Amino acid sequence: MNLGFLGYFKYFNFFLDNFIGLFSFFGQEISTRSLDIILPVGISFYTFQTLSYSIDVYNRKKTPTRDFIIYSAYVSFFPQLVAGPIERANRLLPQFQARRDFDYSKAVDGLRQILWGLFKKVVIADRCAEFANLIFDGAADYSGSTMILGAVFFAFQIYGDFSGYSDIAIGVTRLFGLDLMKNFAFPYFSRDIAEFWRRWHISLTTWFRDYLYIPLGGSRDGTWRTIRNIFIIFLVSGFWHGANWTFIAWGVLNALYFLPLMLLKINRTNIDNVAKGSIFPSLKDLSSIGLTFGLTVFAWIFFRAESLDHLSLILSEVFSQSIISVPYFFGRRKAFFILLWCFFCMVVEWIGRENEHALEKFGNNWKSTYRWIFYYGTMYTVWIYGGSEQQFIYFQF
Amino acid sequence: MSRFISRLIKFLAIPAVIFAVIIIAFPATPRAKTSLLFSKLDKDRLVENTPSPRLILIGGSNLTFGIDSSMIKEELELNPINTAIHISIGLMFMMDDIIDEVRPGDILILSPEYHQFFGRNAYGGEELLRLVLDVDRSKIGLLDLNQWFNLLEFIPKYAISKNKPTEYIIKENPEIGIYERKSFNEYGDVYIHWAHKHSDFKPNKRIEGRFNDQVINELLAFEEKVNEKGATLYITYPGLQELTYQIYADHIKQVEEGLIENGFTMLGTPERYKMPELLMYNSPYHLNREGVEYRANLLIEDLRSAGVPNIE
Repeated sequence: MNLGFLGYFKYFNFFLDNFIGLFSFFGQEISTRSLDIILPVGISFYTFQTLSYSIDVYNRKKTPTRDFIIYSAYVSFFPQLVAGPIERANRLLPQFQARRDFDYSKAVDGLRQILWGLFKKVVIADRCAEFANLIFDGAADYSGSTMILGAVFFAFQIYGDFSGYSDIAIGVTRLFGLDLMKNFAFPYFSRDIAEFWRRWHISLTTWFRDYLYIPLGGSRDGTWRTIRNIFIIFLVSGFWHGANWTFIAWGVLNALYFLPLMLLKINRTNIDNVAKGSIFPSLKDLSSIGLTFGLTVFAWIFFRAESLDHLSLILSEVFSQSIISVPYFFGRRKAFFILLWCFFCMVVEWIGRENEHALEKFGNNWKSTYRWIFYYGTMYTVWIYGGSEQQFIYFQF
Repeated sequence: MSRFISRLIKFLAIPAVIFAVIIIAFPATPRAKTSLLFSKLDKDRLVENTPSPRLILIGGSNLTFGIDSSMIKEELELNPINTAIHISIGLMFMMDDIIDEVRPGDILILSPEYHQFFGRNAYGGEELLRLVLDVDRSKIGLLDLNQWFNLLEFIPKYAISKNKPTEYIIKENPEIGIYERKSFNEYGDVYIHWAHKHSDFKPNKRIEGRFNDQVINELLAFEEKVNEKGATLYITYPGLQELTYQIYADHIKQVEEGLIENGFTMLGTPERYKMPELLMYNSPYHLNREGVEYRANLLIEDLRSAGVPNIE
């Protein structure tokens, strides 16, 4: 039933259009009209959240709750309703049921996380969006190097947008004395793709792991089964993001990235935080981070492209001689300052990478005056850059 | 909890005090002083010094960017004053601001944008806040609670704008922009764009908000005051891009019916002031040179049909 709603609202027209295209390919013209369906905001998120409850109850991992109010709160808890984190009933329901007292340190920490989330959304994501949109929308006019820079802007946009939303949702929840699961663990500091997927959209990747990958057999039934299962979860993950072949291509590309690590059994090499206890990463870590980031940025091109035609246009530029030209587009000076803000964001996140979120212990050993100045500065920056807001990307999923 | 709340109040009180000090103590920035809002001072002088017989135009940018007052002067032998600046100053303020300056025999032409009749648009927005804080603080007293309620959300942005370095650095540009104090002619019309070509722009989206009956009530009260002063009020319709007109069709009908039912003296019909794309400049309410002439001619014809000028 849950998947039925999702299938109808999100994928009906996709399948219809593709069937028409398929029949047309074989010379059969079908005259039909697609439906004008309005996609409910965040349907993929709450569908998966309710699905996990049903599966856990079915598998007797969770006792069904008889409290309708608590269950309704679990399904429609407003901070994470439209873009996650996709919570599990085992974690959230007991928290609703338990008595809660106001927790000063949790509330203060929640505010810090909200502030950092706002910074990432308003200063990083919304500003990077201007340039990512400019470059991707005018792909035909830009060189390969400009397209790569556009993909870098999109990489920061999607990270700032989605992890910013998650930070705001988790922070608001902490004001109520509740805890949501961590959804991002500084993914752009990953040293390989496997680590990236352990740190990016954690609530979704663990969902797929627990409810799809492991039930399919995971990596226990031989090499071919493992390869099949990896492709399935990445394909489904791509399809979960949207009814478009570009998302499926993005999923396949990530599966191809992931597969060698799995087959060589080095997918769990980088479990710990990078450069744990050190200020700077080693040269090896730095190069691994750079390579992983490069692969991720390339994959984001598939994610951001509007269609397969658009994707092929972009790739033809990326794999042309123009890749070695100087990027050129309108507003380069402003773009440079936005990249400086991205760098600042990464520095703060690097400092806080061993914590739950970037500001959790940031400036803890400073005088409170300096810490407040930092918070005021961040608020000020958010205000300065606020105004021309962009919709959260993940609301569409 | 009380510790949390007291610390939070302390944390927020500091920027609040800073904002208050900035708002009260800091004058308008050099960049703000060049903006079209500062034309209010020139227009106030015009209202004060222009001799009778006078024709006073009141409205938002549909008049600022939509009329050639010299044609009215020439054809009707009246002294026109275009007081219009920006839609976000709000119809309520426009009326309250002019009423004390009305003299016997004045002809007032009100041309409100259709937005003014819906939601809370008539109470003004960011431009009204900047007008009363930057341009002329003596006008603060004209604002009522409804207007202040609308303006609250713009206070942080206003205060922050005073700290932006770019507000204090002005590059000398020999070319006058279209949204500057210097863009206006001696009657208060923006004329700089008359030499420009049509710019591509999209039609507006649907008007948000419900029809605001309070606007009609305020218009009735305004008309009564105008009549008491021995002046005459006419209401006309803004020149509006044809594509946007189609999108607004239902709202326009509501406005027209509301005005006619309440017995206002109308000049023309909304349909008559529907403007083809060729006459537009850079927004659905802004006209180019040809559009300005076309609309001025329509208004002159409508005024003549209404018996203006009727100078005793």
